Amino acid sequence: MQMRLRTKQLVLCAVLTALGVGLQILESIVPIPINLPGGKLGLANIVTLILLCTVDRKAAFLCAVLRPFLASLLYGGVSAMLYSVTGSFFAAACMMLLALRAGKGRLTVIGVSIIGAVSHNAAQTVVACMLLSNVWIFTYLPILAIAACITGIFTGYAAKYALIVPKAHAPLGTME
Amino acid sequence: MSKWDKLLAAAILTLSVVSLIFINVFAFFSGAPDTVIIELDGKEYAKYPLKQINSSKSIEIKSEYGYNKIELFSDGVRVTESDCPDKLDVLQGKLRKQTSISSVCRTGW
Repeated sequence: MQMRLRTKQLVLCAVLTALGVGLQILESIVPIPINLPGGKLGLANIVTLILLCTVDRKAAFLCAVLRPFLASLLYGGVSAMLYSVTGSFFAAACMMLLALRAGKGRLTVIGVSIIGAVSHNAAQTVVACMLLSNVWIFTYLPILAIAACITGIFTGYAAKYALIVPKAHAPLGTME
Repeated sequence: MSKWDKLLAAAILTLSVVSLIFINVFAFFSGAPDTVIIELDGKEYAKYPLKQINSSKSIEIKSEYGYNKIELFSDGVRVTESDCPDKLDVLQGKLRKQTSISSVCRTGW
């Protein structure tokens, strides 16, 4: 029984990582009407949120690091990879530490999503600051944070509605 | 969306707006810059003192990376023409503050 659950978790993790790669590439192909460099919807974060709520933290963390790595190998480039891997890594760490420890029982998946989006942008700004060796980049962070707040709420709702489905098919292991 | 979610979103939004106001006030008081330094490939390419410019002056930069046309004013600088695909530097408009602009053609963020 234990083995079966692990296999199921592994498969779910793999499928969701692949879905995340797809979403990340889709989002970089679809143009957004607002001209905001660095600003994007963050659709791929939905996948991390789903894994965080259904399987466990380790799986979510692994997915959050592997997903941008794979996606930028397929589409993007090395500089894009630097930005997205660090952003995703930091966002996943923040979501786990801040949201699930400090905000346990208080924050819903939407709050966790907002924290993820904002920390993703913060990490990317730090990388941009180091790559361009320009501290003034940080003056751009508030604008990104406002955008991240809005997109964070959006992806949070998307994850919330997506989570209705795995909850209906209960046997997924350590689900709350 | 729980009460804490709303609180978190409100906190982040207020913090951002306050820091935006702070940045703009700070940039406003720091005044117009007096020199423009153009760097190409990390090295200094040209330097222009803005006080010597009466109305405007345009310079063209042709390099292995492409073409850029930069216009200098007594109170700022802007990129007027560029052959990069997204034209972010042109869209940025005139810069009056003590900041730096990087005319880099992005490949991805």
